[in-house]
Amino acid sequence: MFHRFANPTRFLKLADVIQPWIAGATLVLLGAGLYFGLFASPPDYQQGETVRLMYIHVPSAWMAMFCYSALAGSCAVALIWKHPLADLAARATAPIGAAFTFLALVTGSLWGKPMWGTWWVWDARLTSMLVLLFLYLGYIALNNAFDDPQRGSKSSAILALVGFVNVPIIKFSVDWWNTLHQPASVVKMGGPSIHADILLPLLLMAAAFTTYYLWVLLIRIRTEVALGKIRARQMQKAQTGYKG
Amino acid sequence: MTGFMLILRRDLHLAMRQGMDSLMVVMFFVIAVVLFPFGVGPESNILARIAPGVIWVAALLAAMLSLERLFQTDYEDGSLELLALQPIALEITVMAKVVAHWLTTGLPLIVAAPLLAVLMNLPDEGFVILIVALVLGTPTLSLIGAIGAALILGSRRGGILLSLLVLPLYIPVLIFGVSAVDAVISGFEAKAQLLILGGIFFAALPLCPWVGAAALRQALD
Amino acid sequence: METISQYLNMGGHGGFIWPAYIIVFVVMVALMIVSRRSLKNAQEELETLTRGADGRSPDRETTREAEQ
Repeated sequence: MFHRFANPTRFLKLADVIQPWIAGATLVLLGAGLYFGLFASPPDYQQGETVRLMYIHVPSAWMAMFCYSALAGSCAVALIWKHPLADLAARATAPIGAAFTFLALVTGSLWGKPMWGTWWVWDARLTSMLVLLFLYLGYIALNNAFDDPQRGSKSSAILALVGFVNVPIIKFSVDWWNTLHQPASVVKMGGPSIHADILLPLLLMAAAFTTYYLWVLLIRIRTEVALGKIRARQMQKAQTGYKG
Repeated sequence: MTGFMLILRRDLHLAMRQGMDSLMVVMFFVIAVVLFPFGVGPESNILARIAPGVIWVAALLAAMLSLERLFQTDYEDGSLELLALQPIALEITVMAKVVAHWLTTGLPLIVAAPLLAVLMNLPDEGFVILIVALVLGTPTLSLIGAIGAALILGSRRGGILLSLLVLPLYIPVLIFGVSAVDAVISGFEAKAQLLILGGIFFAALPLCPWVGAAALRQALD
Repeated sequence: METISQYLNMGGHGGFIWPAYIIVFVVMVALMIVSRRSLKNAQEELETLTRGADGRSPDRETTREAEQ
């Protein structure tokens, strides 16, 4: 079962079949999410219209963390079982995760200005997101730092797992640090109970972001498969060239 | 254990012979801290307020400076492959190199720290706790750094890459190291911070050589 | 007209909400375009490589394909 999709050819066939469905689902979910988020939901009684920022900020932050888990999971599979597709999935996931982390930071900052009166506060969540962005960038940089792509993916896989083990420690230490330095003006985001009017667009957008991730992931894995074939062809050519 | 001592002695011997490296790290540490009064002004209360943070950040950067060479020279001249072929576990080799790195980098930093604390007007009660926190924290820096140093072997732009990989992982040590000193200066106990620093150290002690050895293995493949 | 500008104003917070949505949209579309373009480039390169190899030594190429 596990190695059923290990074969890139079989994967490509499967990807061809499901990609249009995922693309369609993304567009439908995104349309519904935007409709409910921007038109069909009332402003929050506490946060007013700024609650509409939550529909893109919170899903971005979720996806940032989800992508890092997916990255670490793929890296573990690639390192332990030497599964070739896991390697490609990890490499394909990193830029998407980094993009979502960046979006979570930017939308958080744009939310922070009306809520807290400043573009940036060293809030525990924002700070953890910033560190997560650094982890993503480190992974991408290490992945691309070697002439041999095999070396790059193995090295960066180890780094991703080290980072994954560190994320809870970093989160804990940032929480600790933040309670010591908590600025008085910070208003806690969200609340104990989320109204159904807010929950619906939030979940729709989260689902749309997830299918968007899968969509781009499929495209990027197919690119990686093609690039691998190109490298193999070029090696072959060089070898046959040697033999005359 | 004898293999461990052999590698440790060899690395220390090499460091002694080159001699300057340790000194350069300490000099970087001192100069980096001395820049701050020029940057923020000489008011002693401001300097005292930022002293623990500045000293810790400078120590972090200084410890990272010498990390790149931890395996690089041995990797380039091929002695790392010889070390891997020895009957000693690669984990032990990594451990020995980490200890050598701490003895030639971390320890000199700790020795230089009180001098910098004086220059930064650190309140008297902060001195002992600063040293204790550095003693607990700097070995962790060497341990985590060893993973980064092993990962970048054979890459382009190794040194800058190393800082990008390792500095985010140093954040917990920085937070608890600084907060221990801050707590004592403002009249609280720093027991919790020191316990956490120690906990991070004891977690890193077995894990980092293990991961570092795995990283070395794939670099030598 | 009144209601549209009122809607765009978002209770005074339009200046934060709309840029956020636009940035998210731009980044997501850009990532999609970049990914698709690199897939297209890779596929085209692969195709020319395969065809070029076929033109020169078709039998060797096919035997190697069969081996894989």
